[in-house]
Amino acid sequence: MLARIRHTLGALFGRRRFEDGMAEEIRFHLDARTDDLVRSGLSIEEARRRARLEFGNVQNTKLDCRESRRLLLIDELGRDLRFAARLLLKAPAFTAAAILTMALGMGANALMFSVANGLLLRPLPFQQPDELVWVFSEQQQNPSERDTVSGDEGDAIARRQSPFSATAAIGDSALVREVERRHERWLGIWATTSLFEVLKITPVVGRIPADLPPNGAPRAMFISHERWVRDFAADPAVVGKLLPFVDRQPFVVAGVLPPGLEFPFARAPHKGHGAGFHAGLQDFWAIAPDRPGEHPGGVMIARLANGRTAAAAAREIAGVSASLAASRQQENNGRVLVVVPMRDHVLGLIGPALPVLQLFSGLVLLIACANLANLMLARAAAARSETAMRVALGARTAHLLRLSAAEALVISAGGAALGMALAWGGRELLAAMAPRQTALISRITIDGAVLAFLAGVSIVTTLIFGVLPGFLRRPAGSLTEVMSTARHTGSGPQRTLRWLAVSQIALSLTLLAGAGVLGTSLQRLMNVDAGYVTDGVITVDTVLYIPGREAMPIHAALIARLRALPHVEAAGFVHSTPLTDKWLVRDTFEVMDGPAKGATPMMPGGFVTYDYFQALRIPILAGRAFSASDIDRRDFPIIINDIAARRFFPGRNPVGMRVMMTGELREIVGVVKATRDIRLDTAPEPQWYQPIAGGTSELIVRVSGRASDHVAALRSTIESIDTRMIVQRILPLDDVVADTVLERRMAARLVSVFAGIALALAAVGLYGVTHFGVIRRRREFAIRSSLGATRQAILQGVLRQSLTLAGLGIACGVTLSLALAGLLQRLMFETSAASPVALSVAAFVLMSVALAAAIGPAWRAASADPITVLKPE
Amino acid sequence: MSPRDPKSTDLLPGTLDMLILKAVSLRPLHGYGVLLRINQISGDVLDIQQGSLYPALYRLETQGLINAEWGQSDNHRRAKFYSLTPAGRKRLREAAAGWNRFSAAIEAALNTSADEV
Repeated sequence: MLARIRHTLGALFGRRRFEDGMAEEIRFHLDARTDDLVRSGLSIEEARRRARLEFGNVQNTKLDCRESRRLLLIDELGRDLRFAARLLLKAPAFTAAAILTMALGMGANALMFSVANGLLLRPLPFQQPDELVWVFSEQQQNPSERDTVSGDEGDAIARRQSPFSATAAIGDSALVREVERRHERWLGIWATTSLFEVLKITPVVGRIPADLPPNGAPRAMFISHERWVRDFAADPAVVGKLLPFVDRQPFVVAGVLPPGLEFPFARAPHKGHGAGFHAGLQDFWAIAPDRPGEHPGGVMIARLANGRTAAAAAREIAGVSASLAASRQQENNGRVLVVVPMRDHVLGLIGPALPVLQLFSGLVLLIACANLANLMLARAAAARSETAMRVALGARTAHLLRLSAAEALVISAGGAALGMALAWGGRELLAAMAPRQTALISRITIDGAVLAFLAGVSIVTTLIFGVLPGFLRRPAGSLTEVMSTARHTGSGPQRTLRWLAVSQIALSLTLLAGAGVLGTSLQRLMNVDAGYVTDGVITVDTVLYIPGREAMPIHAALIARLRALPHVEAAGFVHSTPLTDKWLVRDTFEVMDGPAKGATPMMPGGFVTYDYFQALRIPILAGRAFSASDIDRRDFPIIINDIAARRFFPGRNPVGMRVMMTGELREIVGVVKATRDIRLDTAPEPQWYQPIAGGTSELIVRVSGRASDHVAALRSTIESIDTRMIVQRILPLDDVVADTVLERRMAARLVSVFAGIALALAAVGLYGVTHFGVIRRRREFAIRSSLGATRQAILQGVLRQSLTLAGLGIACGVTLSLALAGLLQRLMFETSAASPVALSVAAFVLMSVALAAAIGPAWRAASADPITVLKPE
Repeated sequence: MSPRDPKSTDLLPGTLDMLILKAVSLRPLHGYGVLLRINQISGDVLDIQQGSLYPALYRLETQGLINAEWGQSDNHRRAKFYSLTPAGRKRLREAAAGWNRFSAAIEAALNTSADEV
C-alpha cells in the first residue's frame, strides 16, 4: 500500500522524470531488439521496421503505463480543477463572493471546533482523567454555595467502603523564603500523600513516604520540578534536606514532583475557608497528616472506582453527612456531599456555553452553504444555454457533473484556506479578551485537527453544493428548446432559491436574537449594582511576611506614602479583593442586643483597614468607617452591611449594638451598603467587617484618571517600601471584574460576530433571490407595464414578494429561537432567553435588511423600458 | 518470434505477471531482458505482446512486487533493471502454487477416461 502511494506520488511530482524514463526505456527496448534482429541477418532498416512492428503502438503502451501508475485519473482531475479555476476567474465577483461566504462559515466553525477540541476533547493531563472528581459539601437549600468537606466526612469517605479507588484532601498553601535578603513567595498546596495515588503520578526523585514524620518533627514536602531545577540545580541530594521558611517551621524535602505538573487549575473549588488555589504550576506540595481519625478535611479530590459514574458515587456518599451528624446528635441542616467531574469544574460556565456556540457557528455555516447554493444555482441558471451548447457538442453528463464538483471544490478549498486564517484571527481575538487566562487559551490551537475538520467540512459542502447544482445544470431538453426558453423559465431553481432565502432569514433571526439576549444579559450583569465602584481602582496582592507586629508600621508607612502621591485618592487593605475568590471567612455571628438577640448565624466577612470603603466607594449608611487607630483597639469594633442590619436589627439603628464573635464581645460602629464580593451574579449576603492586622493582604488603591496608567508607578512605590515586600499581582479592578465574566463576554462577542456574518450573508442571499427573480420576470413586467400597469404596482409586487419571504423566514426563526431558548438559559443573568424584545428587534432588523436588499432590484424592474425588453433579439 | 508463430500460444489472463515475477526472480533484468528470458524459459512457446510488457512491469512496480533501478546494460547503455522484492517473492510462491494446483486439476480432468466417470 505504502509503495503504491509512494510510486503514485513520485510519478505525480516527478512527472517529467517519469515520462523521460518511460521514453528512454522503450527506446532502449527497440534499439536492443533492432540490434538482435541485425545480428540475425536483417538489414538495419528492416530490423528497425520489424522491431517497431513487434512492439506495437508506442503511444498506447505509454498510456497503459500511465494508467498502471493511476496517473490518468489524477491527470483528469487536475485538468478539471484547472478548467474550473479558469471558469471561476472569468467570474471574479461570483468567485470572490462564494469564497468569502464559505470562508466566513468555515472560519466560524473552525474556531469553535478548535475551542471545543482544546477544552472538551483534549483530556486533562492525568491518567484516565474522566475518573477524577471533586467532592464538595453543599447545603441542599442553597446549592450554589459549595463548601469544603469536614475532617469527619473526609475520614468517613477515606476509611469506609467508598465508591472511590482513592481519595485525597488538598488545600492551598503559601510560604515565604528569604533569598539574599529579598523575600520570595512559594505558592503551593498541602495534600495528603494519597494525592499521588489519586492522580496516578510518582515523584521523579525521592519516594512517597510510607510513614509521616512524628508530631513535632519537621513536616515533609515535595518540591516542583521547576523549583528543583531553578533553585537546587537539579541536585538529587536535595532529598532529606531541611528547607527553612520565614513564616513557618522548616520542611524536610521528601522528593521532587514530575515536571510540568499543573494543579489544580485555574478553577479549583473556590467557596470555603482558605480554598484560594492559584492556577498553574505549584512550587510545592506540603504533606498533610492523614492518619485514621485525623483526616484534615478540606477540598477533596477522588478517583472513581472502576466503572462508577459521578452520579452513582454521589448517591453512595450522599448520606455520610447526615449519619455523622446523627451519630453526634447534631443538626445536619440539609448538608450533603456532592461529586463533580473535574472536567466540568475546570470548564465552569464554558461547559454549557460551548454547545450553544457550536450550534450557532453551525447555523452560520448553514447560512453560508445556503448562500453558496444560491450563488451556484443562479450561476447554473445563467449558464443554461452555455451548458446546452456543450451537451450538443458532445459533453457527457458525468463530465459536466465533475466540472461542477471541481468548481465547488476550488471554492471550498479557497474558503477553507481563508477560513483557517479567519479562525486564527478569531483565536487571537479570544486570547486578547483573556490576557490572564493563558493556561486555558493555550489549549485552543489552530492545528492539524482543525485542518482535518475543515477538510471534512469542505468535502461535505463540495458534495452538496457542487454535485446538486450540477444536476440542476443539466438541461432538460434539446439545445433549441433550451435556447428559446432560456430567458423566461426555470420556476424550479427559483423555488429552491426562495426556500434557501427563507431558511437563511430564519437562521439569521435565531442568531440575532441569541446575540441580543446574550448581550442584554451581559449588560445587566456588568451594570448590576455590585455595591462598589470598580472604575479607577487598582488592586495589589501584597505579601509581607515578617515576624510579630513589625509589619504594621511598614503598612502604615506604605499607606502614608501612597496617600502623599498626587493621583492617589484613597488606599486601604482587605484580606481578599472582591471577585478574586481568594478566600472567604465565615464565622459565627452571635447577636447580643436587639430583637434578634440570641441568633447565631454563620456569616461571611472581611478583614479591612484604612480607607477600604472610601477606595471602593462603598457608602457608609450609618455610623463610621474604620480608622487607623481601630487596628490597635481592644474593644473590637465591627461594621456590618445593610442586609445584616435589616435581618438582625430590624427597625433599629445597629450602631452601638453588640455581637459576640470568636469569643470577643464587639460593638457595631458602622453600617455599609451590601456588596457582591464573591460573584457578580449572586445576590449579596449579610456580611461583617473587622479591622485587619498585617500579614498577607490586598491593597485597594483609588487613583484619579485611568487605573491602568498608574499600575507601573504604583508597583515601584510599593516595592520600594521594604526589600521583603512581595507584589504578587497588581491589576486594575475592572480587569478583575472582566475576568469573572469572561465566559459570558466571549459567548456574547462570538455570537454577535456570528450574527453579524449571518445578517450580511442573509442580505446577500435575499438580494440574489430578488435580483434573479426580477431578471427572470423581465418580460412579464414589460408586458404588464405595456398593458398599463403602473411602476408603483410593479414595485409593490416585487417588494411584497420579498417581504413575504422575509416574514415567512422570521416566523420560522422565532419558532427556532423559542426551541433553543432552553439551551441558552443557563448563560442568562436576570434575562429570559426567549425575550420578546430581542425577538422583535431581530425581526425588525431582518425586515429592514430584507427591504433594503429588495428595493434595488424592485426599482430596476419597475423602471425598465418595456420596448427594450420585449424587442426580439 | 514472429507476430504469429504457428507453435506459439496466447497467454491465459493473469499469467503474464507470474511469468515476469519468475523471470526477474533469477537475477535483475531490464524490460527487453524480461522478454528474452520468458521466451527462453518457455522454449518460445508463449507469445508475449511486447507492448503489454511495460504496463505490466509498471503495475507490478506500483504494487511493490518488483523494484526498478537504473543501471548499465551489457552494451554499456543506461537501462532500467527490475528485481524481485520480498513481497514479490511471496506473491510468486503463491501464484506458482495456485497455478500448479490449477494445471494439475485441468490435467486430471482432461486425462479422465470414460470408465473412470
